[in-house]
Amino acid sequence: MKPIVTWLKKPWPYWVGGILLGLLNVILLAMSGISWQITSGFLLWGVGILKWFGLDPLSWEYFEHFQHYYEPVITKYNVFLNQYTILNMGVIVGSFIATLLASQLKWKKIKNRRQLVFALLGGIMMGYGTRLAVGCNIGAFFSGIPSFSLHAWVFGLFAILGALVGSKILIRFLL
Amino acid sequence: MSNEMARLIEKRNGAKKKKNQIPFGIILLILALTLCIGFWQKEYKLAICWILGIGIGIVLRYSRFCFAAALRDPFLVKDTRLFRGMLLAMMVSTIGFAVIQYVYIQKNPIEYDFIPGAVTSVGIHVVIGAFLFGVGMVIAGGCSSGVLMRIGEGHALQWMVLLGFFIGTILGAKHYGFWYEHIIEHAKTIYFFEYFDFKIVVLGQLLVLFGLYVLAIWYENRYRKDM
Amino acid sequence: MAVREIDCLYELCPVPLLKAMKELKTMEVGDVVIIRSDHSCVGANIKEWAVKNQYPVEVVEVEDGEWEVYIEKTK
Repeated sequence: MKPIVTWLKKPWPYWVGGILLGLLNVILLAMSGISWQITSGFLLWGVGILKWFGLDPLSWEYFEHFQHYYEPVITKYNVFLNQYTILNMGVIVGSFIATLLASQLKWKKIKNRRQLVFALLGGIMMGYGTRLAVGCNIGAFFSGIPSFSLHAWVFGLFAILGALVGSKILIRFLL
Repeated sequence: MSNEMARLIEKRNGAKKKKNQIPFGIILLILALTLCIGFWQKEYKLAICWILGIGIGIVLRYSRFCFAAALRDPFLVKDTRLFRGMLLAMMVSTIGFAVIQYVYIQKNPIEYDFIPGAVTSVGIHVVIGAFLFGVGMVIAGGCSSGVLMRIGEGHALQWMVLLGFFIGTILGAKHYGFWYEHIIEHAKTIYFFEYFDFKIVVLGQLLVLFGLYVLAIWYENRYRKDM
Repeated sequence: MAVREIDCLYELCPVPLLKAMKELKTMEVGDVVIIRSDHSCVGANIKEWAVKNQYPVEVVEVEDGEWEVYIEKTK
């Protein structure tokens, strides 16, 4: 029993993770027709929440431009349960399972108000950025580079520049 | 390691009891697989997304893969291991995506919106969006995949980032008309297969990725020691 | 030998590593710094940095999902 337990605890090297993620992305595209993406699921959840408040975000101009993309999802499934959101939930559950298998689950609180404000602010910046760049690190960059589209290279370059500026802010305010 | 440090570790960590969470992990895995069968009966696409999502989550967590760190650490702490891991992943998926797209293009006309993968327009909007995203992922402590992975690990903070994400995407979608009118409408989509031969594109891209990989190793060896 | 402790509970990457680097600069040779963290990436992250810089380093999982990283300043 002991060797299995240590084996389950051991982290994998980054290159193993990288190769596996690359393979999983290919399998996903081959079998379901969508490449790995995250933020379209977030948007659909956001739309669902706004609908509870009686708003109609689906009438926004945005959804006209991306009709080919969202219409099949919305007519066939619903905003909370569709391929994009299920993919996201799968990632959360998978990470949860892996954490349990390593016996490392622990509830981690928020340290202070500053951390909270920066987290929220960072989230809003990322969210807004993804709508402009049509995807996040994953949807636009990680899946975009193998899709042979120039926008992914531009995304990568400027995300790195953003990260440099972000690091300066982090060292100044969060350290 | 000095003896003093070994003694210190021993003194501080006498006999602490740890819980075994593995059974819960196994139960959850079985439940998830059962749910997969449920999805399968509804539609196979959902089952695929569910099971591969779980696979991605497990890999992300076990290899501590973090795309924010991959783009940040080469400069912040001169560590390129994650960046190189990401390049490897891209090389693998470049080959896979190339085959899938090749098959698609043989049968269908090139229509950017329907090519398998992520093909979209390039322009100032991507520059602004990526820059905002880059700043955000560093101050929030993780990008979108990191947020999902860390929610699964039990980080309360990442729920706040997720809330921020909802607000941001909704605002972005609401303002999309403005950006479309000024920038995106005039932006062009550049899809490499339209300009060059299939083999040249694939080989060229693999070479560029490999070149970056070598460059990263050189950079790390050159600068890491000085930190 | 002096022992210093940095409390990095609930902190995310790269804050623990940056704090450790900052602390090491102010320490005397032979001192040990203990970084207490519950971020799963910290072990791999700090350890690799310390190994590359030839500091003796040890990562101990003290509780479920909680780690202590020991680094000795040798130079």
